[in-house]
Amino acid sequence: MDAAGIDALGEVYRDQRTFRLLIEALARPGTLQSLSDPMPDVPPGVDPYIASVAVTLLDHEVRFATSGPTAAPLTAYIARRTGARPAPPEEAGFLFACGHDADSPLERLPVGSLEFPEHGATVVLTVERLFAQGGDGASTMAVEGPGIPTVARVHARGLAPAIIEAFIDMNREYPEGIDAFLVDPDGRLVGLPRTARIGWNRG
Amino acid sequence: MGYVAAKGGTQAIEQAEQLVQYYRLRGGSEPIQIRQIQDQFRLAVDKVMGEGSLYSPFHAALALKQAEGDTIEAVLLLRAFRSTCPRTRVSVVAGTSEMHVHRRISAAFQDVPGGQILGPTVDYTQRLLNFSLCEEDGDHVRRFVAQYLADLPAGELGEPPSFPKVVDILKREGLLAASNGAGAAPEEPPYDITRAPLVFPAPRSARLQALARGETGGVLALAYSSMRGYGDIHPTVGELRVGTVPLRIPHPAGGPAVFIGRVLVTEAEVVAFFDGTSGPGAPMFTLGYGLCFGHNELKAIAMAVLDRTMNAAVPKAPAENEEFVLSHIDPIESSGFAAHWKLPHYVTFQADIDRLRSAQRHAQPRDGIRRAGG
Amino acid sequence: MRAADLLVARRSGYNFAFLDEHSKREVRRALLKAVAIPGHQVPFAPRELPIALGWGTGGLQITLSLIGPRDVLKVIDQGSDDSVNAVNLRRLITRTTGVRTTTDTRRATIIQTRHRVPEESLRADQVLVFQVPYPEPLRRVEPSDVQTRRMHAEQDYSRLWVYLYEDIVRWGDVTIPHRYPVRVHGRYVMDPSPIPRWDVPKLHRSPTLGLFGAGREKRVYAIPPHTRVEPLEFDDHPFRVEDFGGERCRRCGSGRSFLSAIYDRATGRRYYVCSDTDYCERRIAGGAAQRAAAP
Repeated sequence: MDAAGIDALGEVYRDQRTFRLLIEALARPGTLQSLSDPMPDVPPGVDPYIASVAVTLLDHEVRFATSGPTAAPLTAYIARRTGARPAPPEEAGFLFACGHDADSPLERLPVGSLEFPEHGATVVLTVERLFAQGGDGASTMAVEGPGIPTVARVHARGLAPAIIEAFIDMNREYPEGIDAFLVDPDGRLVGLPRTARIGWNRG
Repeated sequence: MGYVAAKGGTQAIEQAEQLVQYYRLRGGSEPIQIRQIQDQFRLAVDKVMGEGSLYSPFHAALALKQAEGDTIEAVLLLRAFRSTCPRTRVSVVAGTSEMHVHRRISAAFQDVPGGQILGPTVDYTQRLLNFSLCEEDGDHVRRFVAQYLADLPAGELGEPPSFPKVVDILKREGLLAASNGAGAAPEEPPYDITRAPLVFPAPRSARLQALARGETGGVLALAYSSMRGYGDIHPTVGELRVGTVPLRIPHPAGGPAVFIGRVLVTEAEVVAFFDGTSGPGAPMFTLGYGLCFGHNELKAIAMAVLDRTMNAAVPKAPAENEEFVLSHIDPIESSGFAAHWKLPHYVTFQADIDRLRSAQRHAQPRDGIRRAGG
Repeated sequence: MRAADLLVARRSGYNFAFLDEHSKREVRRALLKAVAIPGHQVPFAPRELPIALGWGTGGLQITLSLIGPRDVLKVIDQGSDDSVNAVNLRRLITRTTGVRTTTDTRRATIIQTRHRVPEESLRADQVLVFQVPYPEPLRRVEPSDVQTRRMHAEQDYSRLWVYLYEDIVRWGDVTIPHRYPVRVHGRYVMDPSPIPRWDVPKLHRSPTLGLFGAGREKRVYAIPPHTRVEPLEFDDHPFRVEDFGGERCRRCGSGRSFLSAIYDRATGRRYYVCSDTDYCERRIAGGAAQRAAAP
């Protein structure tokens, strides 16, 4: 088999592995997953794990928005690599944003409708660090709901209170809402579906 | 008592496959060539291409051969094959006014610009079995074709004449509404039901696409119900065309659109009587439109009738109910589900029996009381 | 092992797990939303597969979008690995993936099933994929999709409750034998697929992720683990599972599994066997081992 063939199949397996971790994260909110396939050859300013999530889920059928300090290179990379179309947050199916950015445009995202709640967007938030137990400077969220036997605890450093509040606020009228993935630079991943009931305090 | 395992499912399937092959070949006749099916069963090939939603006479013919002539099975094969073909481009909107016409008639007027061209049709033949076909051989074929071409008047094979659309005449004269919904803008881009789920109410492009892929018999039956009186749009065939239409794709580097070939299509434009749905202003006729791959007139006409009937503001009959029509015309959905009843259902049936026994137990005491009292 | 996997996929002439990557993304995006909104039917645009619609293509597309080289696959129909439909589906999946297959429920990481939940308790590292013919629980009271969508949006399940009530008045009990409507996470009423009532309690707060695929009807839905799944019932007519009247499996003796009736080919007499063949065989093997160990 030629190198291109092996590369192509490599991408197939990579996307499959990444997807399994994403669905596991969303199905068991609060559990810590480890993304294992950072994208090689990302341009400067683009997080390789964020890139792998984008490449796994996005294509020319969806629209996306970005925000934060790496918005520009990330937008260019995602558009080129996946064919997904950049759009304002109001029209985006996906938002790639920065966890410590209190001005992030989360609240502009679509929440879907009662008849089509699945049109609510997915936000992928870069945080500084996710911890299995508590960590320095981390906020702790106590999470309950589907996927969680009793209570799960999410410890994240670099997640602005405004963002947590925005997420809770946007999901107050279930089934409308948005769903979130938190990713840190080492590829740790946590999923928070709109069904997650969050109680939190600053770390 | 020994344990008798219900094993052997794989073996049974393999033997069934072998048996199908045997049934196809045991007659001992010469294997049919794909080319023969393409040439001499062109209307079956066209039907399968249309319902299979893939324009490739070769693959449709192969599917028909593999399916031993079962057109629904052939469509299933073609659709599955289509799924594996990467979609690399979308064509520029094709204009049927550019059609190289093989056949073109209008029932609306005795004569129309360009003329009534019967083309290859059996509409006016007597349906008598032709037993001379039993003796047809290669010689007959070659002689007939040579003679036919030789008999053509000189100059007949020149540039084809143009055929202005009858509906354009009707629109110009203020008899036909300019578009199917007054002021409706064309959807940009057209909805693709193979890429996005179909939800109701459906955009018109989705509706026409679903009809174009619909099973000819199913589409025909529903349209027939409308014509007979379960809803009635008083249709007149404004124009029916069969011919090849050029396809072009946008130039990858931004030049003029690139011609990639021609496809054979059948197009029907059906004019419906005025009923107040043409929009504000003076009443007008409205249009039902049908287009499908290949030469398939019944389907195109039926499509056009249904396109129009589904515009009923308040559906009073199945053919007027868009959700009803579009949910039941796909050959893969209907045949697959009908066939699936052959699969084992012994667990669900066991559950059915449990419920029946429960209901029977409930019914018994009342019987007892009646007898005692009676 | 990696190189061998690559070769299998190439030799079949198709992409790994048959579907092209674009199709997988479509299913994967739909599945993520389904998991985020438990019990809600998410529309998706399925691909046509070399298997007829109505024969498991929805479940199949879910499995094909999930499966990787390290998975171990089990496919069952009516609880049996050897049923012809299960065999056919398993062949397509293995032909285009090269993954290992098993009949042992405990060893599988992905179990694709039609009409049964395995008797064996499932674990968190397993995924159960259901084949669904009718995704819409309200279909028995409303044929129109436009209407049922509105009813779910407004949580207007009154007509279904009336249906259940009238059933009880007429027949003494709810007569729904399979596809028993359940309420998920206290919100959506969901059709659990044509599993018997026997299997419905297994869905409640299960440690296993349940994914449901309807290919012909073009919907997927999901029950995340540890989620409330409650059959619709009245206080004075609680939900009950099937009653086998004391019958036991003729092969393994189980009185605690879903049994199906068989009419003996030769004698015409009726007897019962476990529908879950793996469960049954393991009990038999366990019994044989015990007998072998006895002095």
